[in-house]
Amino acid sequence: MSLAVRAWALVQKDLLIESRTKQSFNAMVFFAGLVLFIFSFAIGPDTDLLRRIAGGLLWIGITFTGMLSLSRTYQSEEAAGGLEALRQYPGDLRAIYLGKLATNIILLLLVEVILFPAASILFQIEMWANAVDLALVALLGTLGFSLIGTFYAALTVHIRAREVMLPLLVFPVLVPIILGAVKATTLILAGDVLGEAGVWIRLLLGFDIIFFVVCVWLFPIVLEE
Amino acid sequence: MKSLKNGIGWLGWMSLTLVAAGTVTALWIVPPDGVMGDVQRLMYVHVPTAWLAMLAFFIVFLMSVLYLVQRKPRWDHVAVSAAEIGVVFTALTLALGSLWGRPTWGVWWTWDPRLTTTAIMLAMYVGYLAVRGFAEEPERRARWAAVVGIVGFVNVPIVYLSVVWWRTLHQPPSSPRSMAPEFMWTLLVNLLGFTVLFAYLMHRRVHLSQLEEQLERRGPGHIAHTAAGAL
Amino acid sequence: MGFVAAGYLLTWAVLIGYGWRIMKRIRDATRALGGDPGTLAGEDK
Repeated sequence: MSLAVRAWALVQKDLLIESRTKQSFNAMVFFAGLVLFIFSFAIGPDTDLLRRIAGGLLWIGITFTGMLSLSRTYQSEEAAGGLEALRQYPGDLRAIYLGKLATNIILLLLVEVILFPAASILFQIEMWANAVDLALVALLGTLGFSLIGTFYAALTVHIRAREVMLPLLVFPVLVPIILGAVKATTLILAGDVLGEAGVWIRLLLGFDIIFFVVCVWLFPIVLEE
Repeated sequence: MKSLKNGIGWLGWMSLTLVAAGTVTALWIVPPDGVMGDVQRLMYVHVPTAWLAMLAFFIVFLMSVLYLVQRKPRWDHVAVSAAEIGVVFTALTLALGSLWGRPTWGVWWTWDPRLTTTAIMLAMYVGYLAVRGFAEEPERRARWAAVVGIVGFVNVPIVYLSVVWWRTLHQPPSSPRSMAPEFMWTLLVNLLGFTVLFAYLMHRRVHLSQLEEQLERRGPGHIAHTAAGAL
Repeated sequence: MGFVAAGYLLTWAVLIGYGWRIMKRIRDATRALGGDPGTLAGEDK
């Protein structure tokens, strides 16, 4: 079986479980909404200010929500020794990474489909005009986040205190992605007068490619026994 | 006292002497900088600690790659030693930079690219050490640490680049304006002293790792691990 | 000059403290391994 087919089989399995139980998705949407709410309260009812920092707030929400589901990435496997079984299948271990990566991206993107319109209403920002650009940034940012997150989630599966360790490891590495995503989103929401957003989108794409290469290359070492 | 003398050894005494000479030169012999005044004296330690922090993390990267290729515990010992010493030097660099920035810029902290990158680097290698603390089994610990060491190092230039772009209004890095010879010499003495000190600390720390590995192999951790492996 | 003095004091304190800690851990580990810390500590074996 080719890499893609094996990865896709894993995605289907995980999405099937998720669609039956909806344990991750519901919690993620609820959590993301709460994050937006709490930040709005913390910053106050100044709509102009909220609008200016909406890009940052959105990505804080996405990052925190993403962390929530990351730690569960391999947990569904752990319970019944499924990760062991997956590892024993012939073929490249990278299929596991690619499969889990795709699942995380799909879940997070689904959350964002709800989160962005919610933010648009809460912060009174016009998003439709720039929907394509925003979607592109969301896609690239989510890809970067998931690349790093899925990788480190595998690394912390067998570690004590993994709930603390995962963010500790992931956040510093995430800095370039978050910076790029927030900058691009903020510029697009502000109308992108100077046409700077394109630079950030290209930068994001570059970061994604680098992290993709590094993570895919190193992943088998993480999982080997 | 005998054990202390043996424990420090000639390299230790040499580094101590050199660093002391560097401090004396920097504080009392070299004249204050024409533009910056006395505050500039901090530079004579700030630059060496920053350079050694970078060197240390580069060593972590090299040793991580070597470990993954050859799987010799020796490389892991060197990597963890360099990471720990690198964290100490990075923290010092940040503290000294902050002490320098307060009288010079009027603030303890600014979002200068190098400053920000250094802080993120510190967080990354603290994470590296934390991973090690939480993984019990030596082989697995070494393997995961090596992976974190590689990704972390690859990330450093990316973080730097992104912060430079983020701070489009950043001030250019202190330009290497032609340094008067006496300043140059003071800096060189300190660079040499701190580098020898680094070599010495590395030597001791690697030795400690080897001892701890021996201890681990015979300690109760080993029994617990074999029991877990049999399950 | 206060900042400079603080910087140098901090540097010395941290480095001596860190060096001391390594020494202490080496001594403890050597002792736990059953060796004599006085003779073993200087060697690389």
